[in-house]
Amino acid sequence: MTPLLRVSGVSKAFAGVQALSGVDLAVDPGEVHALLGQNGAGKSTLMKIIAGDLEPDAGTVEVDGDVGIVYQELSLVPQRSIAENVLMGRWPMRFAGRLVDWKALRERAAVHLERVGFGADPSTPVAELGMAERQLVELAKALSVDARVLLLDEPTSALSEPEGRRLFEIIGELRRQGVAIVYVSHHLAEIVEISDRVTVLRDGKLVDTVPTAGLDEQKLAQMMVGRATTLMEAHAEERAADGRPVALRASRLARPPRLKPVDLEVAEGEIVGVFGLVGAGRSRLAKALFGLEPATEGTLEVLGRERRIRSPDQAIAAGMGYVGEDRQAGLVPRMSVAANITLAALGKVSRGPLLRFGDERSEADRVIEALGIRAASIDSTVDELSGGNQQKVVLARWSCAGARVLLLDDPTRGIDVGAKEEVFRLVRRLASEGVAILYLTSEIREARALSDRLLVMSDGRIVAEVAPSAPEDEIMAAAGGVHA
Amino acid sequence: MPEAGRIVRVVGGRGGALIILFGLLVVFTIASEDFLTSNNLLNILRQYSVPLILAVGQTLVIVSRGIDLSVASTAALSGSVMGVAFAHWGWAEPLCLALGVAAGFAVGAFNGFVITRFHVPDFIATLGTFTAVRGVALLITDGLPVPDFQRAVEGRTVPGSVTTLGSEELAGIPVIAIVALACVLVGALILGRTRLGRSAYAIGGNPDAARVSGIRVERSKMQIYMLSGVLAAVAGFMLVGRQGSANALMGEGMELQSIAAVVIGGTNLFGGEGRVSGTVIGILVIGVLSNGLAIVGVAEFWQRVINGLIIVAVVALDQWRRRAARAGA
Repeated sequence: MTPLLRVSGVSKAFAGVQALSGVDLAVDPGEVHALLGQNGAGKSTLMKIIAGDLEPDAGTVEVDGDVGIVYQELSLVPQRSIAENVLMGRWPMRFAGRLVDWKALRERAAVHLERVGFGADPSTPVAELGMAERQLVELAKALSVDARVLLLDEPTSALSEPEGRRLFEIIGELRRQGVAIVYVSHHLAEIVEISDRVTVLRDGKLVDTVPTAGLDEQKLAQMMVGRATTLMEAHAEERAADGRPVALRASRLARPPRLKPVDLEVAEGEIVGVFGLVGAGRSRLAKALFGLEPATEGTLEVLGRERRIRSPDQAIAAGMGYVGEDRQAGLVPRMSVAANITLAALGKVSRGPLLRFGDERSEADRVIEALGIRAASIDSTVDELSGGNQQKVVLARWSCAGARVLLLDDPTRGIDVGAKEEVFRLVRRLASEGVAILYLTSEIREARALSDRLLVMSDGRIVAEVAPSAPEDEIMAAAGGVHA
Repeated sequence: MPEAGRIVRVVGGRGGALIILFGLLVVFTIASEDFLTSNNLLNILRQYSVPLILAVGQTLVIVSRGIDLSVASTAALSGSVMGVAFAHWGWAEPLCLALGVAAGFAVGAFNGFVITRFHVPDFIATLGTFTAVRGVALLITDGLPVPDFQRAVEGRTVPGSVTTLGSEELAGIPVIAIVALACVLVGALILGRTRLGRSAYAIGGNPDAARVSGIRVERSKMQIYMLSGVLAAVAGFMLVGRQGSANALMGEGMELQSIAAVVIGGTNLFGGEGRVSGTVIGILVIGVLSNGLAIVGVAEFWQRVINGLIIVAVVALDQWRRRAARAGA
């Protein structure tokens, strides 16, 4: 079979740093080819070169037909209709190309939408769609250029598991239609499930291209990091929280209609996991606890004192810290690592209104050392760091602020396996130092691996408490139980 | 290409403005022997001290992702109120100064309040006060210069301290420039070395991150606008001192001059990056350019064209530098 996409000996350097060196890749018609690698392995660079956004320094890219791309960040115009978005910039015209032919636009878009199994009215504004539906529009858009090669960059990152399933069915259909698909993902399980072959990159070099059949996640993780990894096997020994004081207690805490009354307790040094699919209300719970979307009902007790928390500064004063699911939302990109770390503890590094830079440096140095953050210097801006190190900076901020209760909402989202493990280690270490941790996640494995106790959320409420050692399908059943 | 990268970095931002300033100095010195004289340079200082004071406040506002179009109107209001209270109402001098400062403070508080409580975009809120505050100044002065000798209390014109600060000299240096320097130092101290300044950078760089880190975004923005209002009041006093009278229309156009200076000085118009020292260079670029063009005899209409284009050119250079720096990263 002749490959639809053939990449040969592609190299690319940025400012003297070799991002890719001599990478080969061939994707056949009807093949789903996974591209795997840690952050910084060169995946994005390779994708951009294939898409024609970047010129390689050496090597060639041959594509039979057009390339359609679905990026991680959606590229739709929310105010406009589905149809307009699908055919963005390629609208059918009439009257000598002066006016948009709306009827033809809707009809043509409908054809592409059908290919991805999306039945909504094409004149609906994109703003009214959910994340998963937008992803389908994005997919239809990519296909509408008659793409025979499709690049999917983390297509499931915004989707819940059932939505991800649906996407997989569509990918299966496209495969039958002979489309060649390059699939980039951090989710090893997905890669095992969906791909025919997998190409692993490490430090810009090709590690190997192998058929996926017969591989398991452990093996893939090993190829990625280049050494044996314990991945998520390191189950927390189930530590009894008995006798330790309760650090966080919510009673009937709610913000109707989306967050229904929640009761929960986290003891000092305990990691309580909250598992919920996308839309279950995990993030809302975290935001209510931290005062970002203040609770309107119920009571909250933090470190033994009843608190009414209406804003993050009150939550911080009460001893809490928060890491949101969107890492970028927590960092000030053009500010230095040190300034980002001390941002929630400005009182600690100043006297009166005046900052004390010496204190700031020593404080930042201390937590950077303690948390193992790799930065060229504490004066580097934080946007120069890798994703994993950025996430550690956010954790370091709370360590610096001396938070005793940490709310972590999907803190490993979008970071690679190696960095994930480090975040896990850090979370465990903070817990062993007595910090109470509420760990909210949509990844069932993470929930099982980290939690001392595990709560399941669905439809804005906590629906069950299960043993972290319970089988995955049981936990999933609890999570899907209410709205199935 | 690390070489090119380094050059790009030096040329851009404050460095860019500095190189252009230097270039202008060289060109005008060669073009006219009247340019590089102490008299002329002191003249530039005298003329651009007021816009500089406004630009210091503007820097703080822009770093925190705001913009203050009302600074020049506020200066006119503060100067007018102060002048009217002194000359027409016969108030004691310190009270007049306090009233003027209070007026600036109040405009800043109003801006901050409307922006943070009612979520009116900064641009719109201060565009509103830009007009309304000028209107209040006209109401208070009846649109006439102050002192108006028919209404002035016997013997009252302009407070002595204001005249001293605005138009006298100390060891050959205009006092007004020393006042501007003091404002620069205070602004630089606040932005670079205080919690409020750090909050400004955080809010400008990423307001969500600032909030999540416990910074009280609304309160900080409020304080920054109030600070800008107070600096505008000081600028207003200096205007009065320089011209020996107050009027409601003084300082028109200086809000745009202050914004231009901030941006020329390398401050990111969208917040999070910038320094007061850059703004000083920005004002000097504007001042030297206007002054130099006049001295070498460029027609006034052409001066406007060139002034405008230089602003665009400097910012285009800055954007190019940012892109180049990002591509190199």
